[in-house]
Amino acid sequence: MNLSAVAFLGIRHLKKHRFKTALLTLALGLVFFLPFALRSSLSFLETQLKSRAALTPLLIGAAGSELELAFAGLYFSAADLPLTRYGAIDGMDATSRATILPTLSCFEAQGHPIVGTTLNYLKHRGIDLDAGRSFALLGECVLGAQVAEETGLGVGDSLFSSPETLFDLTGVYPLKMHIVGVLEKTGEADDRAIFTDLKTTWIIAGLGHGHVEASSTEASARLSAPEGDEGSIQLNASVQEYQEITPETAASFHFHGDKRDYPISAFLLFPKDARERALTRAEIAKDPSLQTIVPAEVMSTFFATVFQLERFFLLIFSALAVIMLMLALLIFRLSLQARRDEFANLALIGVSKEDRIGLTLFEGLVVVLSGALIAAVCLGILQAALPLILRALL
Amino acid sequence: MESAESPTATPAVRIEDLTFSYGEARFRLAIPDLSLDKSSQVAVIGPSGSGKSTLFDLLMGLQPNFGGTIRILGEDLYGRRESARSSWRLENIGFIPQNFALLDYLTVREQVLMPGKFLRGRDLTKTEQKADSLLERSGLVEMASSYQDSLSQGERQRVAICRGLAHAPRLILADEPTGNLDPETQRNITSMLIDESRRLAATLLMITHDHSLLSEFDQVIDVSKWSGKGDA
Repeated sequence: MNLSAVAFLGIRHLKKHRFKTALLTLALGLVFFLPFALRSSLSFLETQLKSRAALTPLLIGAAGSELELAFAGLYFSAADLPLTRYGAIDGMDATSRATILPTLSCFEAQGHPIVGTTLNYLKHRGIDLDAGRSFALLGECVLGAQVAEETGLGVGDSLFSSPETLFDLTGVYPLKMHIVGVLEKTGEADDRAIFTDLKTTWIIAGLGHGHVEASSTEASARLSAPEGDEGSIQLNASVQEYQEITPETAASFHFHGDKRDYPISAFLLFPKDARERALTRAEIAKDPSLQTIVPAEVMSTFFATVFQLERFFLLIFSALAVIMLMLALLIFRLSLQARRDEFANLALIGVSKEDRIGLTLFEGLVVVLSGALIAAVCLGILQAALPLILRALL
Repeated sequence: MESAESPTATPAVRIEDLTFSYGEARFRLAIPDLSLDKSSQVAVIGPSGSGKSTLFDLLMGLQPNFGGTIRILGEDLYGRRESARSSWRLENIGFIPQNFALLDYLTVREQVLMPGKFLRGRDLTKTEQKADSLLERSGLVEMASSYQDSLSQGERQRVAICRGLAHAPRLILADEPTGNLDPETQRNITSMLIDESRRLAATLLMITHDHSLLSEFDQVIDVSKWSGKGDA
């Protein structure tokens, strides 16, 4: 076979019929791409989710969906997650059988979750500061690396929590938080969060607040004292509540009610050993309002379901591939029929049968290889974009 | 080799005791003896269905089921395998079909170069030079980058002729190349073919129905005297 002549004719033919060629190539590319894209995405997702899950031995939260609790505890996603109480594991805390990191992650600022926790969280996760210091006072926060990058905010700046609250949709204002630090990049969900003290998130929740001293308010801000309680002062809604915690206003911030009833999304537990871990689980199991999960196990169960779905999708993709292949063969055959005269003329000129068959095979090969190349390029782009996609999803 | 040889030493076409038939109507072609000199210009005439195109097919090695012997340029073409016949045909025969047989995806210059590209061991630069000079003499230089759909019938026929000649064949078979053209273009095309075949010192066999063109040729053969229908 005269390969260079065959390639010359084949390329000219494909170029002349570029629309048909491009369509066929893209369709084949898609058929090649889809199963690999699915496999690659799920594999990446599995690695990422399982590796983070493995770093947190136990999660405790309100009874409900194990998966929601896992995602709330590990990725701070809090959609419809039932909350538990801060005092739910009071007794256990006293036994010191595990390091306990409470988190409340149901608020957002500029689209990023605000995670109320303790200073131990950052220490336990091994996240260092890239700039500034850690939060120490009410109203202070530190930004995950990606939050700082996306918002352009840094130490010395401030940001407002989103106005919605869990408990009082009408009366609680957004809280202005002061950024005192920016965390180092970790490549984990922590990059996308704003960390603050648990109490600060309770203030955002409306459970604590600060306002001018009642005794210094003007008469117009006071309600009539109830009968028999003339010594007390009751204030109406015109009393100014502080939206920012400053050294001047910090003293006026206070909490109402029992702190043990305050909300918590999840407790991250790091038991000292396997025995303590078993004991902790047994103890929590006594309380029906709580659940303990092992994030790694939850993720494994989750992926077992996902992989069943994957098999289903792969089956569909295989069927699509077969259909596509049949269509491609049909198009190819029709194309050959349409080119019957052309091949007859080539034969008359003296182009051998081998070269004519070679021309057909060459064109088919170019289309198939181009499709495979497109699939490979798309797969490469997908793999490069997977961290970003995962970040957007979680 | 060609230059050292006397033009008449070996005939370009030598047919002896040829018998060929096909189809339900039992078309028959029987040529007891035919010898065409090298470098001669031969007009092939005969009414439609008399076997002119069949004769060309036989000369090109496309009809292996016949009786007798056919030697082209001294070669027993049918003694070769099919692939070898193709190669030999490509190398030695320039075929100019009636329907032009141009490929819609090649430019004029690419059409002319195409057979040369399939030839093994041939210096493509020489073929390109030959193609360019043919295009120039045919007045097709301006259209070298055009596709066939922008050409007139006469231009397409000239492209087909250039394609048949660019690889310098020793035998040119032109199957009624002037069939659908106006009289002036017919004459121009015929002159061009004869001129170019002389330039190449090639043997030209051209099928034509136009008897006014016959005077241009060295020899005229009427195929109808060798053909017929029904059982012999």
